[in-house]
Amino acid sequence: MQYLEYMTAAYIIIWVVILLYFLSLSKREKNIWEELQNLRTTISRGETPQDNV
Amino acid sequence: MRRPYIPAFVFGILALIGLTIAPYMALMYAGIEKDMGFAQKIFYYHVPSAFMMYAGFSICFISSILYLYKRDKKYDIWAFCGAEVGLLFCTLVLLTGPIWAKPIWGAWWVWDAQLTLHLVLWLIYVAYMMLHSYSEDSLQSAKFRAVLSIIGFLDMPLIHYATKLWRTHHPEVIRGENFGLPLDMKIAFYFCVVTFLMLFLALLFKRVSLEKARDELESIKADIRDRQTILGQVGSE
Amino acid sequence: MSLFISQTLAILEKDLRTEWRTKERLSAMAFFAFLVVLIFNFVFKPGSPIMQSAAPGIFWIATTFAGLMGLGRAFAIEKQNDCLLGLRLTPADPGAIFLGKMLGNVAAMLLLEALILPILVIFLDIEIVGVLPRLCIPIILGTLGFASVGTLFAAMSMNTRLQEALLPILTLPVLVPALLAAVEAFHGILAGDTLSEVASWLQLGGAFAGLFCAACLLLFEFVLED
Repeated sequence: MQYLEYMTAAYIIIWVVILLYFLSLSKREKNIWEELQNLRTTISRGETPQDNV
Repeated sequence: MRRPYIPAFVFGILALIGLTIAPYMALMYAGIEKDMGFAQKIFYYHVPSAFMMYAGFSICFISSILYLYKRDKKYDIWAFCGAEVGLLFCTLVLLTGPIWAKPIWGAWWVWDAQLTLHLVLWLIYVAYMMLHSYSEDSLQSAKFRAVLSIIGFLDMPLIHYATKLWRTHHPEVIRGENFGLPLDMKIAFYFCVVTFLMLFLALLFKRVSLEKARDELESIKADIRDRQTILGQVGSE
Repeated sequence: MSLFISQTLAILEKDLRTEWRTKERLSAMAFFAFLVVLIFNFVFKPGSPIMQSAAPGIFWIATTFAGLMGLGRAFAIEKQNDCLLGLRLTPADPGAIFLGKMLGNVAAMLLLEALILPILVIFLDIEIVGVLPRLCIPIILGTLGFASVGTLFAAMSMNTRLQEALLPILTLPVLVPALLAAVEAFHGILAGDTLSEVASWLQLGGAFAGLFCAACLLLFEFVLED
């Protein structure tokens, strides 16, 4: 059981960092698809998209 | 409908399989090292992370050269994503290094040649990210980043040599190298390397697909803006 | 080849003449370096032996920071007056433009170092008279390495939102081998080592200067073009 806490800390940090990165990528991807969908619906309705596009 | 980016998906599944088995390999299958105890097992994740860091930075280097030569945007995307994922693994190396060092050498940071090299690399690629964030013209930013990536990569062997030379001149800590691993540790180690490779590729492809999607969205928006400007001009006449 | 050399010399002459007229950048660099040395003296206890062994480090820190400041100012002035645009429009080889600018920066840095060394001798009580010829080698190699990378990155950082503030962030990590080599060689020579004893550091400094003078020369055209 020598130095078990160090190893646990290191493993937890690795998993957390990778998980956070993966979640951040997924969230950004979801935002882009949503924005793309909004643009599609706005254009198909025949309206012009807002000026802040 | 969302199209799953196939390489990211495939590597992701492989990585997930590997990541569920890897802890078993590292913790149970491999034996416990007599001097370092459980702390030695950090090595099974620390060293593969370092390998993946080099993989990411190498992809950045090669893509940067291709970008300057061919000026195709897809090379810039690969360079940027390679740097980002490489930087992620570099951060993991720098976080786990001190956690390994503290029980073994008694201090969090001992200016070990390898870890110092990794710290300098981290700084160079953070500067790369800052160049991306603080640039105004995206084409110019791509060129500048490519130049920095080439310079940084060429610098790597020099930094490695310098830190090694520096440490032999100031030998305060004698490093116990893991030469000649027993077979069970070797197998566990190689398994972790392959797992991390799958993880690296999964994250890289996912990041690339995200960047390509973002880039496409920006060009669509730019198109719409241009059309609105033209319509606005025509309407006012 | 001779066209390349004459273009380089033309740009070098223009930069040196411009700087010599006003001397504002040089005086700012020199005063800043002097202040850095002064501040370091306040950090250590007066007369402690640590100060003497820290002399190489203090020298290179003062030189590097003042050099970065000077590089930043040089390119900021160029950007203000659209000089880089003018240079881009000339038929000059981008490599010649880079070399001319780099050599101008080398000249400024060498002048700065010549001013700082006596200050260091006075404040830190180090003996350099005997070792001065040997000391010149790491100083020149370090300055060449610094100027090559610094000139390239200064041209890049000017075109970002952070401008001069980004320059140290880009340059210092890359310069680590050159700085280590320069400081250690300086330290060794000051302690009485012969050139062969510090040879490995001098080789590292020379390799850095050679590699990056060439690499930055080739890459400058990508930074210069629009």
